[in-house]
Amino acid sequence: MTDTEIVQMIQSEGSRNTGLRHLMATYQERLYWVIKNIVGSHDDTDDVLQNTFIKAYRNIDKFEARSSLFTWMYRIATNEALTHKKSAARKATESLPDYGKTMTGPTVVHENSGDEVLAKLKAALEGLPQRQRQVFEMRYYDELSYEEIGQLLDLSEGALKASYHHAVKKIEQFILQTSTH
Amino acid sequence: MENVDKKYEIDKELEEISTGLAGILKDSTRKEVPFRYFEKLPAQVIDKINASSTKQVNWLDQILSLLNTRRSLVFAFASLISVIILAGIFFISAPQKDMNLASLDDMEVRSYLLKNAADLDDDQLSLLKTVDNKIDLLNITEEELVPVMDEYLYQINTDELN
Repeated sequence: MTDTEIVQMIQSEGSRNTGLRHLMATYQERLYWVIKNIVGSHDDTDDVLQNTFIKAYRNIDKFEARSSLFTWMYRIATNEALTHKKSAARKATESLPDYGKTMTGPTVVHENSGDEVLAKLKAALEGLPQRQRQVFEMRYYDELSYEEIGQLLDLSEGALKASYHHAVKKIEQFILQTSTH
Repeated sequence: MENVDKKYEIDKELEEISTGLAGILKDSTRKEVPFRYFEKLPAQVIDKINASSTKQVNWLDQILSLLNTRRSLVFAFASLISVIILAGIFFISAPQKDMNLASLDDMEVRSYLLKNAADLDDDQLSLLKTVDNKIDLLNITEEELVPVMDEYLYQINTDELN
């Protein structure tokens, strides 16, 4: 089923729910991982993903088909996820006792823990220039095509491929350096 | 199927740039979700949408049922709506007095006064002259009139005197 057909089904009174089911069947899994990479836990991802589809369903008339339906959904999902993350962080800070706020120091990575590689990856990504990080995350984690990334960031395919290449090389270098120490 | 192809293409691309990183990422990014999560999700979303629209309908229903049970509330509600409508009509039909007098130039003031001088009564004229020329023409004495006449006589067009 094409994007246009899905949109038309959601816009028609009699086929709204069927249209929504098609929309979800097409994009829910990809969007789940996009959101999970931002918010972390499954429960939060589930909340944000449901809100994303509800928002898309209610605002389907605003979709102007200038970009693909997935790109439009991707924007809604990332906005929802970032808002959720911010509000969760604010709540956590508000409920934190005073002594917690003054705690500082490096993040402890336990040797031999299964999360060690993930922590190194996270550190490597944080060290990248913003654009390279964005492109790497969109391409590798969110599995977007260069065309989709281009629509979102308004960059050419060549520039995106170069950014992705540089990002991969820098991450590789970071992991090699931190593993030998 | 399309997603699987895309994933394969992305993994292959990464492998071509860095075999080591591709291996690390493959091991570290296992993708697992709760059992049958994606099968159940659409029904949950549709339930949520239906529940929220029912909530909105209920809100309206509650107001209507309240109005049905209490007659006095109907009159109060009708009065409130009438007052709002009347206030709106009054506001729209009221003349706009929002003239910015400070922005008028001397010529505009002069032409206005020439057009409307006939409508002004003695009190208004007296006030106008007092403000404008610091001379009260209605209560002027003969001694005060002489310098005023000297000043303004030369402006009189002699053709008009004939």
